[in-house]
Amino acid sequence: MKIFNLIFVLLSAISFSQNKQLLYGFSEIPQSLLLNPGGQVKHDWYFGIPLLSHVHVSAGATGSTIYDVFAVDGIDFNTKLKAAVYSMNERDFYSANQQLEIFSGGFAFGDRFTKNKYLSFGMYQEFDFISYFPKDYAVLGFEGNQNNIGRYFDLSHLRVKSDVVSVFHVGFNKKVNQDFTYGVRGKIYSSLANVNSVNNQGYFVTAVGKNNYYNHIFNLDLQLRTSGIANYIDEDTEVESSQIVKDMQKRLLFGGNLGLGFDIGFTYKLKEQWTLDASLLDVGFIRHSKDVENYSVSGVYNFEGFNPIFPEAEDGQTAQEYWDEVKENMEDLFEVDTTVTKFTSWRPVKFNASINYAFEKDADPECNCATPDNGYKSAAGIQLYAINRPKQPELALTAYYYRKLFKGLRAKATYTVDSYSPYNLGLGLSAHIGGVNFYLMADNFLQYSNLYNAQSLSLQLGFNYIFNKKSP
Amino acid sequence: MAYNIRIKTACFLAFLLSMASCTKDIDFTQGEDLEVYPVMETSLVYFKGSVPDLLENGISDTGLLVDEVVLEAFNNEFFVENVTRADVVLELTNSINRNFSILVQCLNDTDQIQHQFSFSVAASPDNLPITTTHTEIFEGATLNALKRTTKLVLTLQMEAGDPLNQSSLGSIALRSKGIFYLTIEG
Repeated sequence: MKIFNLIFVLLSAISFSQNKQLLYGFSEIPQSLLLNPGGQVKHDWYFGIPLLSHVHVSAGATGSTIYDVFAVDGIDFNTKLKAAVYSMNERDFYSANQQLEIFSGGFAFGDRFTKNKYLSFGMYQEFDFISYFPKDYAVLGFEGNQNNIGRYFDLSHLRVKSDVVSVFHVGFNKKVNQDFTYGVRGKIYSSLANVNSVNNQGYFVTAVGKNNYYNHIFNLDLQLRTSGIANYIDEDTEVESSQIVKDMQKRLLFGGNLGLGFDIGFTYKLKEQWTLDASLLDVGFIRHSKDVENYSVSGVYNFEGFNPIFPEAEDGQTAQEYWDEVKENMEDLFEVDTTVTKFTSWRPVKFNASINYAFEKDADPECNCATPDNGYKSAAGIQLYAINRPKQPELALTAYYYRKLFKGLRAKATYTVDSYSPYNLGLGLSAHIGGVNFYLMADNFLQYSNLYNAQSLSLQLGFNYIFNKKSP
Repeated sequence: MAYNIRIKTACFLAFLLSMASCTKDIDFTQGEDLEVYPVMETSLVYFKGSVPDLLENGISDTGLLVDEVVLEAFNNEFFVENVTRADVVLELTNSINRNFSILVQCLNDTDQIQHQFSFSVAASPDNLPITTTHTEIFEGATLNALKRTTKLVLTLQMEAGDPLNQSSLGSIALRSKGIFYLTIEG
């Protein structure tokens, strides 16, 4: 049962999204290069304050919220739960993402005067989770099959995926000329744990029978693949938590299942005030070969009931043969096959693109140099974000406004439309005091009055030390 | 003017931050009140026999056909914990010119009878199908008896009448299903 407990915990976890619409394009913050390796670089070198340079958590649900179901509002819990279940469909999902940068840094190099190349590197840990709402399973659980004779319960509605990885990366960025910058980033993934069940197929239907009331048709092709957890869920062996911590430390430092991936991106200046940029992130895979345990249930079986009195009338079987066959079929159908077959998991590929318009000439008397923003204080634009998810890609469209508020303070406000909500307002601030950079960004401000009722939330913050030869 | 805008911006930011992170009362222990009442229906036992089938089984005048179905479903943990009522619906369809009756006995591990019931269907002189349906409701004590059941014994009895031979018309058929009312609690 341990594995089911684990799945339940994963399912009930608050969920997160991965879109970082506030950080994308925020080029004063070095971590924006993780969202576009071909972004503009505005400093000479930096290092992230270890473990504090980038903390990201975000949560989202496209369907019912925690508040919908668990509010103290005098309404019967079962009434609320039922309303929640029936208001959602199999395309609704809960997703979760968390990242913690362990260390990071970067420096410009190249020709002594231009230094138009930039190398960045770092390591971060990431947790990602997504579960679609298993609608047909929920309806079958709620109603049973009595009111659903002839209904095909679609078993593919169960789709869940969760993993914890550590990522080591090195990125190269080159400003080719005043108009064009590109970048690539190579990544080595080390998977600490992975659980996924995304390729389920089949159905269960109670059809009107020929020989008996009903013909129950089972067409099962269900699979759950895991790596990195088999030892911990084995009921026969107790694993000390100190051992788990040791294992995780080892896997964090490339002792886990390894994988490779890359990011690419560019920035292109269309006209004086217009720029276009785009990036493709996490094109990569992880090969799971260590500590793998997969479970599958598959088979097709029609059950009309037992036919004990004239079984041999069918095809010359004896009664004993009939019973043996019925028993065998049943056992085969529901038997869970456990295998240790290696598997490959693909990272969720992300795509970002934006078009930006800079305006409001910076009339800062202290600086008549060519500022990194080409001398503009404000910018506005449209960003598109897409992520490849098990059922279908998820999209988000953001309109933003960016402004330098004071000398060392920049702000970005965003309005995002996505699967979670059509009115997501976000705000990000980046402060630069001497060489120290602190940034804080959060979205869905409209829902902060009640966090439990939020469809999605995200928060990013971090501290860097930035050395800036150029004007801030 | 610019100063004014900055003040306004700062006020706006302060306002946004002051809104940050409020929660309204929620109570996760409500999950313990969870009660779901699914109703499952499943086919149970069926058969259909023509006169030659009966003759093959050695029944020509009067006689019994007995068979048992080993059913471990009724005393499995999930069933015992969650089923609050069970209806067993049986339907006999007869087109043979003989009366039939069926006896259903529920036996436990040690073959002791926990519950039994029977019903019959009339002879069909013109070989047109005659259907009789019987619903046995298991609740309370009888439901507990069902939850101790590991084996069903079915006894089909053909009653006396005109002699039958290979060319006698008609058949006897049984269909049955269980309707299980479940209460699943948190």
